[in-house]
Amino acid sequence: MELRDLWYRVKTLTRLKQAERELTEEFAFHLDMERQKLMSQGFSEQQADEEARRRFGGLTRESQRARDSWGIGLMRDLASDVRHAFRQFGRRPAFTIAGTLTLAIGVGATVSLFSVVRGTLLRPLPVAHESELRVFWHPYDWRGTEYDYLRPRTKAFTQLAAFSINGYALGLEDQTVTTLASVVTAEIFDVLGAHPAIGRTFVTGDDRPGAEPKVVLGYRLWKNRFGGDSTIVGRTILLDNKSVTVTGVMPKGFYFPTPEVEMWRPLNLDPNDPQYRSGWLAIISRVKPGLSEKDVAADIRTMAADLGTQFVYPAAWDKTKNAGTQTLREYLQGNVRPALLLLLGAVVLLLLMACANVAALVLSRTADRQPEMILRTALGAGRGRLARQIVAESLALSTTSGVIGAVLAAVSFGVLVNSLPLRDGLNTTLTLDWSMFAVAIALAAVVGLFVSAAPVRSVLMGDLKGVGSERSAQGLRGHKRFHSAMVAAEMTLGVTLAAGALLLVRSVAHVYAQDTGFDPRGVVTLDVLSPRGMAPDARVAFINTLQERARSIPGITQAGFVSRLPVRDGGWQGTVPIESRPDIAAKDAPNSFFRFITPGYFKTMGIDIVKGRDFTDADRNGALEVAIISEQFAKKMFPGKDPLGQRVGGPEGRWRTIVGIAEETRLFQMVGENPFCMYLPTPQNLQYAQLVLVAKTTGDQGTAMTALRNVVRDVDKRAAVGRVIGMEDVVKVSMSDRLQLRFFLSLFAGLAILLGAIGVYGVVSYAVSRRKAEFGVRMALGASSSRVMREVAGNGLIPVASGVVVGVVASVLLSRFVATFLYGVTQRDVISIGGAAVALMLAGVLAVLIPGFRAGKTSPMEVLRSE
Amino acid sequence: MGTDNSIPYGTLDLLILKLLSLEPTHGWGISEWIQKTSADSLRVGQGSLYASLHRMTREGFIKSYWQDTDAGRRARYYAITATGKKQLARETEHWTRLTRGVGLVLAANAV
Repeated sequence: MELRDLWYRVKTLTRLKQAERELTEEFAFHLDMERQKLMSQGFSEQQADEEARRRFGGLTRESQRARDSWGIGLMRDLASDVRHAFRQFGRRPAFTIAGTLTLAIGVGATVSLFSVVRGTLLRPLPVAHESELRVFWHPYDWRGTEYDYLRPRTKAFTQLAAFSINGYALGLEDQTVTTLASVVTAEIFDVLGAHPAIGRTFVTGDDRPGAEPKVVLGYRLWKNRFGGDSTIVGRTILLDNKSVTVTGVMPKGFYFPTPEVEMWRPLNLDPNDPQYRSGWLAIISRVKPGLSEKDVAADIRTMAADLGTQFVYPAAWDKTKNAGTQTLREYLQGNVRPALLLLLGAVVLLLLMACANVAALVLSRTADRQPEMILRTALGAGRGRLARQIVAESLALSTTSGVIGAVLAAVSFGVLVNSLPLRDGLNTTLTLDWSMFAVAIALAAVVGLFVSAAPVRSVLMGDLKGVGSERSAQGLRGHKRFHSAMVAAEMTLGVTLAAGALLLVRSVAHVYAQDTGFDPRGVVTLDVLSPRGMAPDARVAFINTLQERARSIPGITQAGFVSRLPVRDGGWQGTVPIESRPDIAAKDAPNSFFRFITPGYFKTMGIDIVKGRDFTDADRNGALEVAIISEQFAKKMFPGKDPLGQRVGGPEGRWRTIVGIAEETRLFQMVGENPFCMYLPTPQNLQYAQLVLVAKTTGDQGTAMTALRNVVRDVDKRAAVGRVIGMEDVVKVSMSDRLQLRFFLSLFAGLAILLGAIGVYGVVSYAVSRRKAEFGVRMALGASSSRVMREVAGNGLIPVASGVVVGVVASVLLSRFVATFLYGVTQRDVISIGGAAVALMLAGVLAVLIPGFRAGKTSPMEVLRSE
Repeated sequence: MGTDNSIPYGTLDLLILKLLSLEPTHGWGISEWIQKTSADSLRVGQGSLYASLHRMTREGFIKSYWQDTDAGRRARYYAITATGKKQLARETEHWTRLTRGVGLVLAANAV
């Protein structure tokens, strides 16, 4: 029944012309038959005709009733409304294009960004019951000792697991490929509730000394490097030139902790390993089902107190205070979330501006058509029909925008994802899916309905009066007020958006201009994976040979080794007791980074020795154990004293003599407080000395990198090269969040200015077109064109200026929302807010002057002729 | 104000279906037949007639086709469908019950 009914309607609709023809023919037949009957009863031809028509009862009304019974009335009216709407748009192309494009940009940006927000903030993580997973005491790093101490003590959590905060680059097979691994405890997959696609994960004991070396592969690595071969399970592969057994492969889509990690290896929790006592782990666990947040909090308090009885913490590092947990999501997305929400807010402002532009279009069109509407009401058109037509028009406009916006979103999504502050390979997991296109069009339709609400209301309320007064002073004043309000609103939104964007852009510039303490220019870096199992002497020889060979490469002026690169590699750190400061209790001892370097490092990086001496080849194993400390370390811990010759506790727990003070260098992040640093000579502790070769070249960096790679192979075939990157790029990468944010915000500022200008231009040129007749008459009566121009400009510039002023005030009030992103500029930065105001003012002036200029060129004759 | 000889709301469909169950015919034929068989006591408004015909076509109770009349004039004929026959049976039963009920009530002379 339903289906046939619909079929009938569709059929009738598709053959509408024929149906109309048939209806006419049917009625003509009826009238003829009636007439013939009447004539046979003795009526004259004319009488019969009249009587037949009278009996039939009004052809038009009857045929309308018959048509109504086709059940296609609404659809047909809508189709004609939409056709009508597009005809109307065609008559005013400039304004239509402006309205459509602004809405398209707004919708496109909103959809794109929302896809990103959904992909990062809303999409479930690849673990079971995500909300039960908690990361302990972020941002504290945990030590193996603490992990083992807490394990049996928790009551509210199921078993604990730990993982390395940083990924580790490992050479795969023939060492030509490096892959990023996460080092985890044996139970991590159980805690996460993640099961392997094939094989199995780790078993208890895999993370203890003497365990067979094992690895679990990620799906992507398994597919790309091992051809998806399922017999890989149980076989051994070479990892950093060491045989490791593959126990399993994780399923597609699983990632932990970040998507760029491609394999997992068990930790070695060895109490005899000094690393067991240094903080480099994160602890994760699952809340036992059925427990309240209160139970969890109580257990955390107990654990924190327990920690205090067992471990001594420095004040800045006190795990008994500030104890608390984070959900895994908060832990992983900590940095991204506020930035994304900020951008989403900016997009919403942008969408608002677009809506304002479209509202201006639709509202002014309604005003334009008041005479038409009144005429049609007089001719019997229902108010509902008129309201429907307004809705149809704005829907036609907005859905067109929606479609264009969807196309824009699809085109721009890739650029957007790469320019957003997304880290750790998250950008590779984001996709723009088809439902977003539906959202784009629906969003536009909602906007269309929204902006048509006001005119529909005025039509339904019968507020169509004033056709006569349309051109009266009062009518004009009302329109002028509305137009002024629109112009001012555009300007306010534009200034606010642009000012916020500029504040952030300038912050990034400040961070970028910061002194890093080292000179990255011309410095290339290579992660060197030295052969395993080398005797200490052989390893020192390997390092020395490599360094000498590197220096002999043409174009390379200096070379040296460091264990971890500044601003890239986070860090190995620990507490450092000071021999001459017994007043500092063990728990208040300063925390410091440890960096193992060779004598060439400082020279290569352009880091000055402020006092004392650099390391020399004489600082070898067996010689006096020495250290160089950073400037801040010296200043804060040896106030008014000479640190040279004093002794501090090294990472091995033995005293080291300070022989020099090195220039302060950004170690970890470009902003924030710089941690203390202690430099140690590589040969005096080979065990932890990861090797990053740094070399300064005066020539081409690519050539130098290739040459250095060859040298490493040449010196020892079993050695391998991991990441190779220029130091300038290292700095850029460390800034990538901010640089990308800057790019995106610059785009926003530009769009805000553009949309503001388009909106103002649209409204002002519309106002001008409405007064074209008036201008023509006045110019015919002798007004000069410059006078007309001045008047238009004056009328437009006042709202532009007041909108800018309101925008400045709004920016000052709203800037606290971006405060946490600012660096080196205050919330009320004059240059940012003033710059935005000036830019919008200029755009606004231009947008007013162009139609003003056109008004001044109005030809009186042409206008009078058309009147 | 004369006697109201318009057809009660809803019964026009029933009359049309009844006639079409006897033989297919065109719109004018239907209106003539209703007028004649009811001895001029019922008169069909042409507008409601065609609205009803088109609506019932949509609902599938009747179908229409073009055919020449005996006089050789092209006209749209309407014929009842199988669904329409079922509908007629249902409506007839309903009508009989309704009129008998109404008749009984009107014939009552005491509470």
